[in-house]
Amino acid sequence: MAVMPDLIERFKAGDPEAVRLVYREHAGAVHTVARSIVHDRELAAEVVQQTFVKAWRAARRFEGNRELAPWLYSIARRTAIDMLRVESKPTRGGHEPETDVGVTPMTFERTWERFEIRRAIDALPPGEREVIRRSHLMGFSHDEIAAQLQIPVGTVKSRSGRANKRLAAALAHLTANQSESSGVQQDEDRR
Amino acid sequence: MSDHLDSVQDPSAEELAALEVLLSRPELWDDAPAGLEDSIVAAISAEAAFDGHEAAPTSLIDRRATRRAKRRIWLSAAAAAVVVVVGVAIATRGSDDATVADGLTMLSGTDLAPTASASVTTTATPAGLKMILDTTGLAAAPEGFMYEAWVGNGSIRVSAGTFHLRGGDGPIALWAGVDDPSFDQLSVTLEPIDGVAESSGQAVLRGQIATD
Repeated sequence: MAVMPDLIERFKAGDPEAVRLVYREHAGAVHTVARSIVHDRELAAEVVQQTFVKAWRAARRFEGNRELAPWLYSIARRTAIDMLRVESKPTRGGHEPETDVGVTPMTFERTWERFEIRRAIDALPPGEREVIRRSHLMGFSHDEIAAQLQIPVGTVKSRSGRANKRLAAALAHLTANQSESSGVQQDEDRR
Repeated sequence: MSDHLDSVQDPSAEELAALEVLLSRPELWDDAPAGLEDSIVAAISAEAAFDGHEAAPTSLIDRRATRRAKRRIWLSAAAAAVVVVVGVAIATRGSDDATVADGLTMLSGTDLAPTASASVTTTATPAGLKMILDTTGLAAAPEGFMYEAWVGNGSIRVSAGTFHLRGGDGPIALWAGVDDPSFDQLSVTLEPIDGVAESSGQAVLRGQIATD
């Protein structure tokens, strides 16, 4: 991300360049939170819109020494849950009074976890990100990825190795939890 | 970054397995629609220019209260209009069974078009649902873009037609080939003219089709 010394102040003022920088830095993670809660692609896009517009409207109360990401995360999660509740109303315009159906969104911790993972993914250089996407999401082997991207297998391996180092370092607290819960799961499976 | 990485230990097999699990969720890799950035920048710039930002209500709560008040006014107006339209429908039902006016729907502007609104008169016909959309405060679609109306039921959306408003903002006739009452959600999105049939997700108007 390009550095803008007074980014927050310019974002508060609605400077288009600052809005773009904030969006590019955080849109992926905000979108991941939205998709995790509302699932629908169009609604998720609306959650992303509303999150950034609400953030700008509330930005005057944002203290410059705080981190922007957790603040945007909390706005995104609240916006997504509100959207989910509105979309889940069972009656509209009928004779029965409207009542909210039970909406049980993913927990705060789990959506925050996904927000953090997405930020770690977005921090990868594009070449490494693509290799990881093809291997971890799509399940392709290094040989297959090399053929798809038309690059040597050695390059795929080195990109994969470097990306995994970065991700393991950034997400150490989550991989530890994941290993523990897998262990517990395996123990339970054995019983 | 590379120097730093050289000093970092390679992840263990256990860590790699955990990473594989963490990174395998599709929503982690899905991106917001292209064009959303431009829409958000435009919406914020327009609102900053419109209300000077500094003169805006001092808190989200104030804004929500203002919106709720506006919504109540809209809902009251919509309720009154529905009474009128239903009356007309009952009066015309005996003379013309082919078309029956079913209701009036009010659409609210989203954050992309906060000052926009629209009324939609819906009529069930043997050919499908006919809708007359009348917009207020919705800018003409920029060159290379168009608006598209969608009727949905929460999980499926079907297109109800496209328009651009560059020739003025008169009533627009829209049609949707669905007669399932569960299709009670109506939205209008801004779409790039790129041949992609899927919605861009950039909704500018949204509302519920009135049903009884």
